[in-house]
Amino acid sequence: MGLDYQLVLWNKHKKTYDKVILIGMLLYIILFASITLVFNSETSIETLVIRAFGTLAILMLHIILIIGPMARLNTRFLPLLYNRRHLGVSMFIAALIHGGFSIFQFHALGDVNPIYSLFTSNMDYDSLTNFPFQVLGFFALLILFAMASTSHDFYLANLSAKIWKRLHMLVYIAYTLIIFHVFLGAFQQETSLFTIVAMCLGFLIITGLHIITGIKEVTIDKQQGTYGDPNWLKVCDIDEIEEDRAKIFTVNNERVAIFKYEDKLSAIHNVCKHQGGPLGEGKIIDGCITCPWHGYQYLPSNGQSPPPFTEKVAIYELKIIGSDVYIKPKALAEGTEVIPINISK
Amino acid sequence: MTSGLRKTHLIMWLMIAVISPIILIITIKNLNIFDSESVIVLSNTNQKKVLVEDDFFKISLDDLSENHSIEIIVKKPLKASETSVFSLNKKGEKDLFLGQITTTGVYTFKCNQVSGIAFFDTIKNEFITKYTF
Repeated sequence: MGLDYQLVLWNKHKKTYDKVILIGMLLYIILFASITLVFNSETSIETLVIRAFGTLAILMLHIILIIGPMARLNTRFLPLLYNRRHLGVSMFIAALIHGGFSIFQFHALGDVNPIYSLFTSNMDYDSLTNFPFQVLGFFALLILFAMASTSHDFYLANLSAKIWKRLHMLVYIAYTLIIFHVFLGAFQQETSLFTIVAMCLGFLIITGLHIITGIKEVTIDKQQGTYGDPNWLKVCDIDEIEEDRAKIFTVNNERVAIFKYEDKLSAIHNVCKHQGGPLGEGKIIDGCITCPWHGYQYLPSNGQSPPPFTEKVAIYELKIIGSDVYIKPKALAEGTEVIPINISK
Repeated sequence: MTSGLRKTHLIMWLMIAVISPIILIITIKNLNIFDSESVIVLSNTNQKKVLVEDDFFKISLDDLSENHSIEIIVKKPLKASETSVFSLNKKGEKDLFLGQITTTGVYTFKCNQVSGIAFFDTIKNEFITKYTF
């Protein structure tokens, strides 16, 4: 969380992660080049660069796409989610080197514009087997460029979290384009069984994890409370909520997090204003509800970030009868002050 | 994520999981990558005269039918990105341009009489390999 926009928001942890990313990328390139030179010493340097950075970008994309669902399934992966943005930008740089070298190698040495050549050198658009696979990679690269260039809190704040998230969900389209780019390329250029098996395995893992977590989320959404009074929804017993933690409920199709802290209860909308993180999976730190994704904080009494920050989330009214917790399903305006319910009274 | 985004997310992944394998299976079915053996069997039954066969090429001449043609089966991908096929004259020199080959597969070129075939890298301007018959 930062008040001013900085080109790169580094801290001690992010610097460590970035070093790991950089070293990992360098090691992969060295390993790929060594193996290639041992087993296929006639490979030209241009081909080596194209293949090394292409495969590196695909490997990184797989890791990026796995982090999200893994963090949903196991909170130990949350630190990776925290640093995913830098991994994404690094992956784009690898993909750009692959794409740039490919366009230069295959299209820039003729007498027509390289981009025009990319689209017209193979016109078998009506064929599945000879489809111009480079075009698919080009469109994927454009999507990755749009994502990498907007991977900054400035764009997140100005586009709104919802639009920004939808823009960044285009990575799934890019992933699909890349699958076909690799498969068709592999089929047309070289039938490498290793490439096909590796891509199939990656596809199964990524789609499997996303669908499993998606179904899990739908199941959570279906867990509704019970109405006694039409204005109040009974959600749980006080003892079901851990101290300084929350329990999440679905109210009017939106998730609400009810936090227990300092003998009090407060309920806020579960979606963080930063990147839509699940606030209810975070905890109370220094008296503030802290998002588990990137550490954005909100005061439990009004859903507002502590000054000078201005982010606000909707807040809900609660009441306790006996040990049962009730919530009023209609949300109050973002930032409305609501006195927390005292448990002992 | 909001409920709308969660729903969009799940629908997108279900679509990717269903559509991508279908397209890939259709593509693989349309490819000839595993058909080289069956092609060779077929060419034998068509009474084509096999001139050369090695790890990379099988070159056959069809001089029995009305359309004299030479058939080249590329078994393995070539390292050259731009390969042209030329007929060779009796002195073993590059004669007529027959056509180009790209990936593995079956290529047929019309020709009357050839003393040999040359595969030429038009970018590096050098012969890849020559076969004389």
